[in-house]
Amino acid sequence: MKNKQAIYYELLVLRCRRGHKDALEELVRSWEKQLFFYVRRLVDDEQDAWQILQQTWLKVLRGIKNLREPCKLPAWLYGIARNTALSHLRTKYSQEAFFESNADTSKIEDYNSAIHFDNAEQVYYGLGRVSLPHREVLTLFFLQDLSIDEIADVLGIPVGTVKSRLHYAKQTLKTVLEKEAGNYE
Amino acid sequence: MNESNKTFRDKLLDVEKPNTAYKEKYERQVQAMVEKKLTGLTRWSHIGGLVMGVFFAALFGTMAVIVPGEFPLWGRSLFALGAVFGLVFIVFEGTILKKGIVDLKKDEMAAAGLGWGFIMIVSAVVLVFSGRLPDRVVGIHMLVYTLVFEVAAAVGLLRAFIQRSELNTREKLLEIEYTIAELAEKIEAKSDK
Repeated sequence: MKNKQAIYYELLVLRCRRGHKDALEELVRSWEKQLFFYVRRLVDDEQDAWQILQQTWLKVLRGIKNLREPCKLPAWLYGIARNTALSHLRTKYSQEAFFESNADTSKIEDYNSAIHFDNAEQVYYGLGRVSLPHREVLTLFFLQDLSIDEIADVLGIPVGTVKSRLHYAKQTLKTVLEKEAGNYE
Repeated sequence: MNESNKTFRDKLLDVEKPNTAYKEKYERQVQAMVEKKLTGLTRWSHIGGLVMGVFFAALFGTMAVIVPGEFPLWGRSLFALGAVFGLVFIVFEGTILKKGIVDLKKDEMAAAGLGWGFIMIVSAVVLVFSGRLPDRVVGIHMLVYTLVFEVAAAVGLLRAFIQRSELNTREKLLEIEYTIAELAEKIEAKSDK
């Protein structure tokens, strides 16, 4: 039997396709907070982040009719938000390799290692101090909307790379937070 | 939600404090998107619809009045019906233009229905005239063209109707599935206690 969440997504997508205003509003309401958080981690300027989110919704509303597998709604939404942010960054800086990271290619399976974070404010601060590829994978991991496979889909990289990147990103974040704690002691 | 019951994810999301002015601007833009506000092109298409409604209301209304006395009553009634349809179209398009918003669900279905009804009336009027033409060959040509037109319109409407019924059924089934999943979750939670 399909789980409740998958049925809910399917129902929501179907209603959006049929033009139910309430469903469209619900889609926006239930996803804007986490999508904004994600986009905000990718771009420096808050106004740009809101603009990217608005463009994301425009693409979502146009493209929802073509979403073949509604159970993949979260990954689809994050993918659109990411691509919109990426094209914004390309336009703004005329560069391409924003999210490329060659340092995390070694095979790491234990991405869910002993490193745990429980202070949201510290993590929020720390996210602003790690590299963009690390920040992005950590954000998607902390938001818990996507599985590792889905994160790999959104980032367009192999699952193994997501795991190793996540492992190194956690280590880097831990180092940043420890350094910061040391400065206060 | 109680602060202590919040997950790490929720707490992290709460740390983000967006700028109220930016957020309000964004919300206004998104609301406009969801409501499908009339923009340049769509506004003009509705103005076109309004003009068409005025034209047909005037044309059929005039025809209903000026046709000679020996013209069959049902033909005259057909003209009057066409004029009424034209008036309904005027009201429909006028309301959308006044509101400045298209309700994707209601308005688009109503527009499709009205459009189809209008096609049927125009076709019926053409049929009436084709039967009264002195040249039988031209009359038969008109009849054939009109029938093709009507069949195409009927097929289109039928397809739209089937699609809508399918979506209705799918939606109902999903609602039932969702309720069952909810119940299963509750039962599971109870048995775990």
